[in-house]
Amino acid sequence: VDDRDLIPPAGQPPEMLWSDGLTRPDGVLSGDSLAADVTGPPAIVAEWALWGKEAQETGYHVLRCSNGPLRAQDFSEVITRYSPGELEGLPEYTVSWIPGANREPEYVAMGIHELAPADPQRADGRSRRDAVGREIVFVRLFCMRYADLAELSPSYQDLVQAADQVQFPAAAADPVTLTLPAQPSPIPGSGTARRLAERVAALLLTGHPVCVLGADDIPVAERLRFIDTVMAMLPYGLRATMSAATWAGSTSQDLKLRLFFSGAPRVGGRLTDGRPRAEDCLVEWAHPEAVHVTGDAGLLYQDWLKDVRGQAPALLAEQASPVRFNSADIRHMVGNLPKDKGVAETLDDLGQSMLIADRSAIKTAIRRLQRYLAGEHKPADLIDYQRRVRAGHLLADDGRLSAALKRELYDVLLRVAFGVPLTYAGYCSVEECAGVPLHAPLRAALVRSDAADCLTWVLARETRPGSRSGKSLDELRQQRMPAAEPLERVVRAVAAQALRPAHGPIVLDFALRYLWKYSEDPRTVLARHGYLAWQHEYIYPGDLETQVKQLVRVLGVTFGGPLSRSDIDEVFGQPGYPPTVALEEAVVRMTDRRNRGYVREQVAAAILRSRGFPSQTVLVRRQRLWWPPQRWPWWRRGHEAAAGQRQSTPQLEPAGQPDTVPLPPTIAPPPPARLRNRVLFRDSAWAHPRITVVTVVLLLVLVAAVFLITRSVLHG
Amino acid sequence: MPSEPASETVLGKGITLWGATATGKTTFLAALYTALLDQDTGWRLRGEDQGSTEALVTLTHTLADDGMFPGGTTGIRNYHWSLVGTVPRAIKEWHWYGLRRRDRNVVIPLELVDAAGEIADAGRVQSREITQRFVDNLANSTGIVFFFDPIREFERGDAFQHTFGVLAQLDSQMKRRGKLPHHVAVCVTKFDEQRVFDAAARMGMIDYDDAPPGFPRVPEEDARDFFARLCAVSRTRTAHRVLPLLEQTFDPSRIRFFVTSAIGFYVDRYSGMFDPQDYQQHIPPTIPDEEPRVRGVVRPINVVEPIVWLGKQLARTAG
Repeated sequence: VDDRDLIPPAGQPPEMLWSDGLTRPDGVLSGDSLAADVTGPPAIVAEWALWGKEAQETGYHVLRCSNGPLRAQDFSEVITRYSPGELEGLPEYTVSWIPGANREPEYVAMGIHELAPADPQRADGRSRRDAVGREIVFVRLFCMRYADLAELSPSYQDLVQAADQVQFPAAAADPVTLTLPAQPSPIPGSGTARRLAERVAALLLTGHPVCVLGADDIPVAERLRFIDTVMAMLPYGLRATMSAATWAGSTSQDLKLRLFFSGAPRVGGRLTDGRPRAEDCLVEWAHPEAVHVTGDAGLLYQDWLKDVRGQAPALLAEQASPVRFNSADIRHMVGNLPKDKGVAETLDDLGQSMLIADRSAIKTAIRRLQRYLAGEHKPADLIDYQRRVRAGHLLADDGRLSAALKRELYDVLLRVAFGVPLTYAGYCSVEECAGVPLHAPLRAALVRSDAADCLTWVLARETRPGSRSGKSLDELRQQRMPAAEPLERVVRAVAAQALRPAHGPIVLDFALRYLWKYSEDPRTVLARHGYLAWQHEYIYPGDLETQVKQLVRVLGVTFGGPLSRSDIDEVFGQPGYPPTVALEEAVVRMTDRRNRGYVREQVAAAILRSRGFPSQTVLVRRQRLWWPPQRWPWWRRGHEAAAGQRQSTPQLEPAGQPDTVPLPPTIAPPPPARLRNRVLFRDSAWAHPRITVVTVVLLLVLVAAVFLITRSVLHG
Repeated sequence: MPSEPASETVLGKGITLWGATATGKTTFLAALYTALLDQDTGWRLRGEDQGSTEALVTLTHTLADDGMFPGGTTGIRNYHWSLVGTVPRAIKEWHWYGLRRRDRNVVIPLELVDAAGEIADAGRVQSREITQRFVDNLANSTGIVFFFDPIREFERGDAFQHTFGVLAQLDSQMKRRGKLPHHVAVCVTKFDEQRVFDAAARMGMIDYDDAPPGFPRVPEEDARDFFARLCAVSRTRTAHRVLPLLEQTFDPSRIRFFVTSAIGFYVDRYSGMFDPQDYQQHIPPTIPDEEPRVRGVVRPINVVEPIVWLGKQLARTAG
């Protein structure tokens, strides 16, 4: 044990030596060593400073301070930073904090603003007036490590009570020991002050300073007790970063206090650097009912306080990990309040409460779930939660519950068990849990919740296809959704076979209406997806007539009327999409009777093309022109060679591949017999040996016939 | 029948009081309301929020009624006060009875910042944060009332030290190419103190009011010279540099000098006239725990003038 540690602190009897003090690396006693002995009252080490003036001076400064890690400049900074301004009555108290080297909360500072005692024996050599006759307001500052405080959990009243027994030495000296009272100071368990304290505790979580007005006649001890009561309604760890004062001047610029009493409200305005100053939350001392807590964290916390009622101080005293008054820490704190049941247990409770429609219990469970959601992100077992929701029929439309309660219930259940923003898979799970069709209150909750993709968004708003209302379309457009995106999402879902057939008509209808309303070139989009032939086949499986009707609608809107041959070419010319039976039938219905044969040919060509046949083999028949006569082989050879060159960029093959596409290994070459009379070769007919042989035979027969006829005539 | 004057609020930035500790900044404010009433200039002072109004009442009451000096300022205080007055319009307007100037009510907000003197004491920096906040206040002000206490300067002589430190930070922060744009009212305070009055009398800079009680004054045209000569008799050798420092930092045309007294001179209630043999108004404490007091009725000298001048500059700046 260092000799320095054995020096008795000022104002303490010699028997209060730290008998087993273990020093920390920086020379400050640890909390374990603070108790004078096992049975004695608890004690805590505090660095100290005296702020004021000498009798011959006019300016305030640190008169003397302890020899600990904190220097005079540190004390000066904390005293001026958390200065309460002009004080009308003395003593007054301030609490503040000092961060450590890593900016984490390290010290809690308790300031006692007072005049020097009139009794010179107790004045420690302090003068009551300065060089120009002004009263000197001294500040006795005690700085305790928060880690030490957290072990003993003393209240501010305890600290003041202990500090009042301490007299500072006349010169710099070691830290002093504060002997805490054996019995902790009481806080009110009920009454106006208690109710006000509960509300103020919740208000503090908003981050705004809280100013208590109308307490001018309240003694300082009671004001300090009120601050203690407020802090007792919050986790003890918040004391690590708390700043408060039993009084503060309303004209002080830029008060750094989170909770203070004042005679008048501070006006808003801007800080000296131009930033707007945070408005104070004003509360009246005698009117707790007039305090309205705002903000999610504050409201949820207030509900929790109501839940646990008188247990709050005891539960919160154990929450000693340092907490800052920032949104992240507050969120974490609210999400991890003591004695809060877990989500699974709460869902089960909710199921029981729903059976008997216990509204109070349902509300409590909702608040608990909301607190859970307000906390930091935690890994959640959504599958398990959904199972519990389904088992408890939590998403059922219970007529015994009010609309407001159902609204809250569904909102929180969607967030807890299905995740927000809601994915399409999550939406499907909601349907599985609640049953289809979804009832109106649940659908309204789905509308309120965020959607992860447009399928969910559409399904939450549209109950059937063919709606004539453009409201949802406009609403989605306001969210800057690209015109083709819903359709693309449907196509992707169909390709992945993730879209439920029951949802298909609704989302496809919406996607098409959205596309037609907002796209400048819907025809290109539809062509890119083969006029949705396969999507319709997926969405209306086995219902050929509906597929045809829907495709007729698509083609009708796209082409604006009966299809010409060029339109037919375009419909069946889309690469990668072999025509379906429904598409062929739809085109047939939309074109002239004379083109039906042409349609069939195009279908065949498209099928062949989609199976990977070379482009040279696919075209069947061309419309015959009367001139030039295409029968002439020399013309046809030249013409078709040119046409072949024009079509040398095959539409089936990806770019960069050779013109002639090898047949896929899975597709066998078509048997010649099946090609008979169906496919004409683009090359010369003479190149085919059978034709040549037949022609030669015919010529021989002809020559023989001519010879026989000639001979019979001549010999006649 | 004359119509109700039009009401107009002139917005502008604030006025910051700047001076070392115990130079009389808060007492100056405490005397302002009384001084405006006494001088009957048509201007009056108004608090714009509850706290500022309470402060105005308390300060005025402490000085004028109780005859006590207000306590020193802790930290930085903001007073949202306004100068309210009636001034004639610059442009005449046609009325049925002819071309006339119509009066208008003008409200000039005085965002007054009263900072503890030790904030800017260069010798002992209280807190970097609060000093920086004070410099921010100065930078954002249109007007500055600079307090120079000749007694303190004679006894301690720290005016240059105090001024230089703040101005160096202010100049560095604003980074102006030319001089700083503030209007500065330099107030040589405590004119009622015997040593100051005697010095002015010896320099031959005293004029007496014609109206009762016939108070002595240092005319405005002599105030700069008086300030310069007071600096010369400072306890330290650096005080003579205060004036050049101010005039090189701020535009000299925007600096005006006033020799002021917040409490004025003592006037015997029966004679009602200033007595050169008995004018000491400030009663210093004679025993340790006694407070300094004001002997007679508070009669501020040159307290209104700097504020009204700065208020008009604020109004002009704000358009």
